[in-house]
Amino acid sequence: MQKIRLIKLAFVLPVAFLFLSFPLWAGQYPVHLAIWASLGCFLALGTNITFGYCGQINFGVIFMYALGAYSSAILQLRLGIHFFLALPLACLLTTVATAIVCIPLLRLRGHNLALGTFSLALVTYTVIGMWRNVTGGSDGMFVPATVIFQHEMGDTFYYYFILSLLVLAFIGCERLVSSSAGRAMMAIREDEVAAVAFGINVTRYRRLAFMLNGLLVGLGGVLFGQWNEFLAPSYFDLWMNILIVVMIVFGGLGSNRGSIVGGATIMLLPEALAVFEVWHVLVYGAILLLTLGFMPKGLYVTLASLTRRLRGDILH
Amino acid sequence: MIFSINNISKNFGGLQALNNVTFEVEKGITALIGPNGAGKSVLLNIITLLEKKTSGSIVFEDQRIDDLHPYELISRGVARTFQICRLFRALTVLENLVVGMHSTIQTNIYQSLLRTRPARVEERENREFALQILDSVNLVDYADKQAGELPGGLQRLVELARALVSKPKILFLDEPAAGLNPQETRLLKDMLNSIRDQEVAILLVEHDMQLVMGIAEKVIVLNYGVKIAEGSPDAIGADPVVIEAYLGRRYAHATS
Repeated sequence: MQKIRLIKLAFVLPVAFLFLSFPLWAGQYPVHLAIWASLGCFLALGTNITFGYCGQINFGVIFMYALGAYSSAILQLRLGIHFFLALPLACLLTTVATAIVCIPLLRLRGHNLALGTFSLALVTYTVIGMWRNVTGGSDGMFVPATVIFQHEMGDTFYYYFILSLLVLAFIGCERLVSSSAGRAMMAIREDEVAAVAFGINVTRYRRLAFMLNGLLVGLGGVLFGQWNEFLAPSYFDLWMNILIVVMIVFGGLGSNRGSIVGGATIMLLPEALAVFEVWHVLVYGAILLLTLGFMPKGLYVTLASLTRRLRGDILH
Repeated sequence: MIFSINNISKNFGGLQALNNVTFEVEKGITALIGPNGAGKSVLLNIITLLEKKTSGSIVFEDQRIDDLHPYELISRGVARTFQICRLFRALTVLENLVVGMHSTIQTNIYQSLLRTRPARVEERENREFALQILDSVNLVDYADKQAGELPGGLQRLVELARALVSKPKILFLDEPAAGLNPQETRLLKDMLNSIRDQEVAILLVEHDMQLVMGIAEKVIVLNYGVKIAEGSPDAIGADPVVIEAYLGRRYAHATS
């Protein structure tokens, strides 16, 4: 046991050092990409709670993402609230709003829930585009920069700030999985009838899963808007909605580590494939198809179980 | 009398699946038998509130329970197993049992997420109790195995163990011996006897007549949604109506 802990520590410490020192030795562009990848991780981690752990199809993630981003921006612009106060308020607002839309949505199940949540995404995109007075419509809206002690924050600040929140979010998700609430969600995913028979209030835990999804994706939205300093409907279109679902399937449904791998990979892949110029979309599609074709359980989950098997073979 | 159902009827459109079924369950083992399609599983689903009845009432410990939510039932001491094994397949055997104790959890969701001391203590105690139950049914070696990977017979026993961890006062078992080999059936019989010794009432829906007649104190017979007989195993085994409807003449000859 002690040995395993030491091996884990020997792995974790250099990785932690690498991440902490990254802005010091990497250039501006890699830091920019790292922030972009981290934002994807928030979206994947949150959506994995409903989709991966609770088994509830959620194609309405954009609602949570946009609500987090726009509410934080509007709170700062209209009420003059500082970002550090706008952030928790926007997250709270997104979580509460998600709980409210859950009232009609959670009457649906399976394919109907998929269609219901997808309509939510459609409505969100349309509302952002049409409600010009509030969102700036298709012209978009600028988000005030984060100012601390009269200094405007740049990518290095965002890198550390977003990374710290991501670590907290990851720890929270890992705790959820091993908690009674997480087990209740997984029981619902596995067999709803048996879950009810064993005292699980299915509606309550489905709602909780959506609310936690809203909290994390809303947080991702707040951070994205703040870092990007600009919001427009094109950031919250159906393509982004699909990408978020692809992230968790690509990394591995029902795995927080898979969500991190999927979230970061899907966000960075287009950048990495830029060398293929006009063919990059084709290569992107091919990579997704091949990965999911040969690793239907997702990249991380497949590689992790392969590693476990190899380790078992070596030990025996 | 610990449990009773009174005039339970169930209609599916024009089809009457149950017609004014009334009986009582005492401490010990009561068996509910009848041919396929007699309405046994529908009745069990109605009793455990997973299906709505058309009419009638269900009383447990002198209180009507048919207006409760189905998830509230287990906290009153009512647990069940299913005809088709319904384990949480991707979870381990131990996790299945810990989920079975969900209704007994005292700490709230937030304590559980924040891993407060009471939540940690409760989690540890629940795991220890689940292991204790697994040990008592000789399944402790499978604790960390994924439930869906176990052979069918063992899955049935895990399902029974999962029902036991909720500390039930009454247990509804829907064909627990289906798919078990003779050795597993013997183990099941021992388990049922041991559960009975712990003052838990059991309503056993079962087709294995050797098991039923060897273990039950009372037998109730359903046929086409109607109760056609009720009595001791010996009386039921000799009842001409039951022989005609379900047991068959070969069974009567074999036992006489």
